[in-house]
Amino acid sequence: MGAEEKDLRDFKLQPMKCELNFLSKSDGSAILSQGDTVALVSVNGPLDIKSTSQSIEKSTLEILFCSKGGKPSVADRYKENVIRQTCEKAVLGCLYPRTGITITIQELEDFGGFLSCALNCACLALLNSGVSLRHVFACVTCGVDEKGEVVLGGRGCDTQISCVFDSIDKTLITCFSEGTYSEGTYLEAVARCRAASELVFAFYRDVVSKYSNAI
Amino acid sequence: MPGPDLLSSQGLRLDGRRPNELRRIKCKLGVFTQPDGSAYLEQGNTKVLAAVYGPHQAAKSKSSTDGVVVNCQYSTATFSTGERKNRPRGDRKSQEMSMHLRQALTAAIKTELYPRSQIDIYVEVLQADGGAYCAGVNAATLALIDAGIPLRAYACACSASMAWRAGQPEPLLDVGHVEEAAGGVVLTVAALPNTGSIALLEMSHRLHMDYFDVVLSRAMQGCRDIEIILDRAVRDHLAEGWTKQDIVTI
Amino acid sequence: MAEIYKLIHPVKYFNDYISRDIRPDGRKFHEQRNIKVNVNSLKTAEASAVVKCGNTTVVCGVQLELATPKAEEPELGFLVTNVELTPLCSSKYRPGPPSDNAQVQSYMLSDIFSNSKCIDLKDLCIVPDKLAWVVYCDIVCLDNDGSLVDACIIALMASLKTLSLPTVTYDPETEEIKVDPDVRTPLKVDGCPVATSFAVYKLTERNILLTDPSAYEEEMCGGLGAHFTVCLNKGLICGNHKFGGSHLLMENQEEVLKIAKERANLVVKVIDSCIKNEKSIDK
Repeated sequence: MGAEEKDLRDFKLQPMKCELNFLSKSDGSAILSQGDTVALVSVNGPLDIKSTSQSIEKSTLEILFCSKGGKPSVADRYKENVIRQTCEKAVLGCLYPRTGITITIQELEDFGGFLSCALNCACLALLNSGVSLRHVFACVTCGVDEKGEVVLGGRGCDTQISCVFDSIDKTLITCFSEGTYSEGTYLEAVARCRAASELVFAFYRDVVSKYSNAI
Repeated sequence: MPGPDLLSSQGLRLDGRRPNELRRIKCKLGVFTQPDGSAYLEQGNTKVLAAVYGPHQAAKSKSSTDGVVVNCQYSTATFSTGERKNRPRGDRKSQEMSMHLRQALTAAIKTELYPRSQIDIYVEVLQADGGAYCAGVNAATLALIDAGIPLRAYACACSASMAWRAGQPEPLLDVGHVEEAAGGVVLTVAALPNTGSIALLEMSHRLHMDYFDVVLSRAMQGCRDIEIILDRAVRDHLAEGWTKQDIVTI
Repeated sequence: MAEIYKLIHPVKYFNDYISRDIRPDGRKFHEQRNIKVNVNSLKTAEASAVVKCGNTTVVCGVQLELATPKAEEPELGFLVTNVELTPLCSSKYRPGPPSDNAQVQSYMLSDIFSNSKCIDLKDLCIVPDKLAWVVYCDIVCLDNDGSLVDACIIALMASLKTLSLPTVTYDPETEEIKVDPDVRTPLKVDGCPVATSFAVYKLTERNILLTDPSAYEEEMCGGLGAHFTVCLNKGLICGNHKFGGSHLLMENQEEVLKIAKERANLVVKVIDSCIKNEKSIDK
């Protein structure tokens, strides 16, 4: 365990700041900054939706990704898909059949690692909205520097590997990457992301406890 | 008024065919697993695929109590022509073709059997070398048969053009891309040869009334020939024992 | 009878197979479907390939155009990939603008391709700042029966490997462009990325990995868009995408990488032998 603890200390996640219930009109919202990257997420639902997209087994997740420029692009659809699939795993959709839950993500500042910030922010917004969840999830990004070493955060690295873990077994839910890397690097990166996800979960706990005290 | 030189002095066309000769047609039914019916058809170098879904419940806005709604989409792959096409579908040409396809096929389908239902027919042109619409209709007919949808008759389409040989008019059957591009008249006919009725007739360029009948009868002859080919393909396919897994290599 | 059982108890039907260590189509968990490749079957495209992985069928056509490079990257040419999921290929897709899923697949493909760096865009430039090739790679899906990205990448690589560029001479003074389609140089392709998809199925206590899932298996394992894809190019990972679906344990990962590696070698062999065959027929 010693080595892992040392690793944890060595890991410096970018400073995270969060405010829950940032928007007054939505059912749940969160604004999260990881370093200079800022995302704002609002969650509405479960709501009535049009019958064609209703599912009799579970609630339908609708993800809307608004980039800073405002113009929709193919890359946005990809990000929506990543967030939808991840949230679908976390939300206990079977409790709300025939309804829709809308998650809107607004990009505010992107200095790298936006998708990872958006995923964490979506998780906090879901917590804030009170929708039942199976588990929370944390996204951590690793970079690979010129020497081929894995560094946490990895801002500015050409090669980046991002992993999302759940809070129960710490198993991999979602993974996406940029650039090329070897097998060993990949396994190392996943292991380090997994260890660092602990920090994110601790941060979640911190934020939620502060918020519930304030009420 | 001698038209463009489409016939050699020996009476052969630019690609070596005789005036009343069709291009070689190769076809296969049941090529895919996902759709209810599918067919692949090659007419010379023109290669098309057709898929049929349905009959299934129609969308509320389209639903009709009189009969089935036939929904067609004609699309050409971006790499089907020498010059890259930017829009495979949705442009005016494709929309017009989709409409023509619908008209020809609605005439063939026994629409009254399936009120409040819908049949989707998708035609994809993989390689276009003239007469893509005709090939599309022929492929769609085969796909409909593969899907088991009752038809009145085979819907066959064929094109014909007009050339001059030694001062005599000589209609050309099954117009290829080169002949189309040469700027002659192109008469496209979609017919139900079995019943002798014409479902769709379309002509580009100018043609003197006197010669219209000759060209039309040549095109109709082409439709009848195609019907024989399609019929044989259907019989062969059924004799094989519709092995759906067995798929053609394009 | 089996069909009715499948309709009434979809999950139990699937479980019955999986718990007996076999998949509904008779494959073992890590058995892949047959791959068939056919190159240069379309004459209107500069290069083309038809690929069948089981029932999944895709056609890739490559076409060339000339254009002026972007001002900010004057030495780079362009390579545009696009995946089209026509309503022809599955009843899930409706006519109209490209569905979200089609856009995601398209993005994933171009992402994997650019990450693998198997084509140097500088090779596509003819005269810096003046003239460059635009290589359009359009992939049309004819039958979607799962593991679409795998098939698309094979089709793309098979056609790019057969692509050759015509010689172009450019006169800077008169700005005259001459294209000689008879003298051609083959495009340099460095390596060959291969994608392998997996579906993760949660069977009570164990997580089961299914290699090269069919559309039905994909649906049972989390629906459209939930899959796990590993891409390898010359032994290096050039894309690792997992979206949702069942969770993946650490010990599964090494297994996945091993299978992906074996498959990568196999696919490269298939493509190469297909191109060799085609060339020998041409001669």
